[in-house]
Amino acid sequence: MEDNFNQPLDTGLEANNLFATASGFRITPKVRQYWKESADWGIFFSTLGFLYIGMMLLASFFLMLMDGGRAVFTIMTLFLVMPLVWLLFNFSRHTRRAVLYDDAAAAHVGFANLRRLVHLIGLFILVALVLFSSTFFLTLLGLSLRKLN
Amino acid sequence: MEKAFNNSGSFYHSTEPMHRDWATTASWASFIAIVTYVFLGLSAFTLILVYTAVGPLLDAYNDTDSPFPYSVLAGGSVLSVAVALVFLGLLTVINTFLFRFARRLKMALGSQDQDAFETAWLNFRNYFRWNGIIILVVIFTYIVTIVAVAVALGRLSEF
Repeated sequence: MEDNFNQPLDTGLEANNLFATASGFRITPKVRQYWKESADWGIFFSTLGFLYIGMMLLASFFLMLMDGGRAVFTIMTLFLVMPLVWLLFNFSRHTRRAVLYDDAAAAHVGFANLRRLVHLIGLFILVALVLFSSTFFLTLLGLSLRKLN
Repeated sequence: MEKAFNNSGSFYHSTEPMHRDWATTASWASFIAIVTYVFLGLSAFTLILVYTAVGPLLDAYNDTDSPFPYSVLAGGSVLSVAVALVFLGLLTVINTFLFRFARRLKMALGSQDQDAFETAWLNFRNYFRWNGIIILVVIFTYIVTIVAVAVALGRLSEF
């Protein structure tokens, strides 16, 4: 079914009837199978991630009793890890739901979460690269200044 | 079996918002894969450099009467370097799945290629699957090591 959403009165209709057009890729049983398996693995990874977060929280609690500085560092690491695990979990949960129950809205949420997850990992990598390279160049600069003196 | 995957429901085709999400995902996944390639390459290079150049250099400066010169330790270190290189190779193969996923998804979105679309998700599934297998192997190794250490300590305490 080809719908024409270019009429002025139809503005915004596309958003409410996202699956009426047949212009996109076909969601074949193969693709569903790949999504389902990926989502299952994603749930496994996120479960491990939640376990890791739980253990780190417990460790930071004990560290706080002994050494406050280390506990702060652990909690800061957790603040970086937590959104990644949460986004992975949401991607897996919604994609799994989309495949099992033919839920198009869940697929949208799932893929939006995947986009955010990959985006966030990319940003973390960019920040790490900037930090590493600036440290490297500052060290080089410091060494050369020291040689000049 | 929870459900057979047939197209009986309303979810037949991808939509424009999905395409936008996938385009962003593909770009960032490509970036992550390339950075990972560079990182893995640098790691392998550093590993080889340390064990081929720095090790013998240390050995040359080492006291020959020392009971543990570099050449004695070399047997163990060669094995550990080989294991590390194999692991890096495995990570490179896994990273290739991510790279292929990103490339195929971009190709599919650019030319509405259904085959590329399916191959992209096949690579994505493989990326997750192989990462999962590696994690399972690492967890299994940890458990075996812990049990072995516990058994060894138990036996030691008997003496």
